[in-house]
Amino acid sequence: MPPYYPVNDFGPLIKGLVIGGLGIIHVFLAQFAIGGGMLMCYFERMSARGRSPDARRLLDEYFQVLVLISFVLGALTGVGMWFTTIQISARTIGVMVDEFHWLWAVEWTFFCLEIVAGYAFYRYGRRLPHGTRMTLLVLYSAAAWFSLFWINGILSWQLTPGQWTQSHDVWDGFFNPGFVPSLLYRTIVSLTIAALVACVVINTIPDLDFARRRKLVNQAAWLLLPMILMPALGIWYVSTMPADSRTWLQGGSAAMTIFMALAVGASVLIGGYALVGLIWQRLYVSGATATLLVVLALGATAGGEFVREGVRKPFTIRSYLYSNSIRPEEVERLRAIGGVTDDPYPLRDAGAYPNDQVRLGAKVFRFQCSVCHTPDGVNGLTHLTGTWQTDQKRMNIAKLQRTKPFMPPFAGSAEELEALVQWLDWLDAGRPDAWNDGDERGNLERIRRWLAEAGTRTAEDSATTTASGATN
Amino acid sequence: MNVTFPFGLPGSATLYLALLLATLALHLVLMSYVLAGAAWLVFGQVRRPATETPIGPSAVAFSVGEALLDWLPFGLGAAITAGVAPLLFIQVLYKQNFYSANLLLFHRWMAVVPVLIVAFYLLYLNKTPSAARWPAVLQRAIRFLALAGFAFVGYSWTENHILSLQPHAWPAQYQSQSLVFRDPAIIPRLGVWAFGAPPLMATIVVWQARRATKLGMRLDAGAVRLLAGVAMGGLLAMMACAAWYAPWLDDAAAGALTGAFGLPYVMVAALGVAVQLGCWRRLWRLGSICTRSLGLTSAAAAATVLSLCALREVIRLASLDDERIFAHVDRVAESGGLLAFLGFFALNAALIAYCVWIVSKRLAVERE
Repeated sequence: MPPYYPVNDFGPLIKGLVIGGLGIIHVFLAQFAIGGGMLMCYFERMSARGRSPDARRLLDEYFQVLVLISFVLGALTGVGMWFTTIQISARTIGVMVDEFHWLWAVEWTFFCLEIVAGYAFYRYGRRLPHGTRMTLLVLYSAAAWFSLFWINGILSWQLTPGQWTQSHDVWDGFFNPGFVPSLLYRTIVSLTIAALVACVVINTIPDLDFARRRKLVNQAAWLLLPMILMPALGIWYVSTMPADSRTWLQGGSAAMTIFMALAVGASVLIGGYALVGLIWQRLYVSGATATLLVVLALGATAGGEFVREGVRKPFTIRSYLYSNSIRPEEVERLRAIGGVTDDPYPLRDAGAYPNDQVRLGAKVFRFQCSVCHTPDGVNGLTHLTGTWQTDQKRMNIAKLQRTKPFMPPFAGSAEELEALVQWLDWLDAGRPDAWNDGDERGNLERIRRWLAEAGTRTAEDSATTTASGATN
Repeated sequence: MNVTFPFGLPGSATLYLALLLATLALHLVLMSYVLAGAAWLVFGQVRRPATETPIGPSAVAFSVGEALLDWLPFGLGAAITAGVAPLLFIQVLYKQNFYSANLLLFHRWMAVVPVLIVAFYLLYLNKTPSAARWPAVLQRAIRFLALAGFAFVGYSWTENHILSLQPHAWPAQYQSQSLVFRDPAIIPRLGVWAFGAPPLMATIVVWQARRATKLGMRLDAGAVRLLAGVAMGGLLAMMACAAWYAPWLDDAAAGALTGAFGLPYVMVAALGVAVQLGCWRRLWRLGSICTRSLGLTSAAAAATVLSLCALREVIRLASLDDERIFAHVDRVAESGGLLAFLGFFALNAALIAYCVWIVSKRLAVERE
């Protein structure tokens, strides 16, 4: 049986937007910290070899920005990500912790090294010789990159768990099909963000004439060169996705396709400017333009993260846990006993409903739908189903995974499904004070038949099973 | 339980509990430094550093306020980083309770993140050279806001923890739509941890002062006596809060504390407090640093912190359905990665020590 957690109402917003918003900021800052470490190693080396007389100044200015932004905002939005994930899907983060807690603990040891090496450089760097500075920077940037290494395995596992679904071996899950392309792609993104921020910082260093600024900008721009690998890595990463997830990106889901196009478009703009303007023509980039490029990079990150979260549907953990925190194996039992029968949490607005059936429908919505939908706000059910006739609602929801392939199967009894339909009709009717029960015997029998026809697996799983059965 | 915690518990639960205690104790020490340090900056006197490196041979006298002003941002960063590990192990051990309390407090709980961000930046703002030129009232207001932020976070954690121990209260709390959980045990329990912070902060600051004196700084007797007074006051207030908190414990928790399961830890904690009081009294009388007393009070403080962390789990396990928890932890323990953790823990601990060593060595060369 699934664990029941209290479900909060985010008003007209869906929960995905909340975690998406924070997630984008955190990922951007974390990648800035990772790339920042590598960028500082590069400039420290340039400085030691006498190839960049102003590199030390840039390093000292840059590290101030890194500490103030990454050490504070980056670290705390990381904690915030945990808290937000609990708010959105406690069971998902619970499974992730259960499976990967030792690897998260490994990541923590790298956090500790990162903060000690980083703070030692921040506090004493100006008084240290090159060798010691370089050692601290290498340790700092290695620790930052390894924190990406560990979390990347856990996050990519959610979409492409690979052999883990059979073996449940932590290393099968960690080194999943999406691990390498995702890690390489994120490493290049980190370098890109760090180089763009460096261009902003260079423009803020006082007492530096144009020629010296330009030299620093051109040197920093070399860290943008790996962007030429991004198209190949992106294609590699997409090729590791499950087939149905790929179809969302190829027009199957307009939102996914548009967000991916935005991410690709922003990346192409940055890459084009970097390769043609900054590296080939060795142009200068002003603070304003550099800031604009940073904002574009944030836009690309936002698009990419939205896609990464979205293409997992109807799962949060592929083939293991649906978006609404129900496991595929639990659907059959929940259909038999009712999805909300054991839910201990009462409705907060029970008095607002005209009868027990509509109240039950509201509870079913809260348990099964509210993680991605609102009643009539963003992704509102009344908007999505408003034109459906009542019997059409019954059938479409009973066969939900076939009505929309990115939806999970309905996980409740026929009575609960009918209650959900009545709740929807009641909302469509403008929430009248009185409402008749719709528990007619014929309705329930039809719902049971449709539920049985649809089965308890997703359309994709059913297709896979059928194909494998045919092969056998 | 007829045996002392954690003996008699399943091996898997013992492992996770041990890691939770060790990492929580580390977090608590750093958190105490920040909380009590922020309070010192509000209520104590702070002399501004003349240079960017206030602690050094050039300065004449060691100033507690200056040291705190300088080190609190790092202390907070370290406290937050150290706090990630116990947060992880709490989720392994008590996820349903922890998650439910998080969800019930909703926006209120989530507010700890932006509040900590603001408080963090205020600490940095506080130590900027330009802030030193601002009116004293404004400087104190900034410090007060930072302290208020930490107090809010501390209150929220305590509230969350006590709510997590009361599953029977969850449906009513949910239906009430209240983002505040009211319970008479919150304030006394918060008091135990909050008043436990000054002795730990004082211990760390005296170690900092000792190092500063070795670098040629002078330590005034008044500073030592003030730190000793704050430490002793904190310890006495902490004991008073513990006595206030005890009647609010449920029967099972009270039984665990007075029985074999938890009593040894109560005794160690009490002994630790007594030793600390004795050492601080001696330092107060001397008005200077006695390394032996400082070492002894540090050891006693460590024993007290670890005992209090253990008692926290004794109370929690007595209040909750421990069989369900242990069954879940047994399943979770089957997941791999422990060896990787131990290996990287050792490697990164060594690298951290190496960072400290190479910087110390270079700074020593510079001083010579």
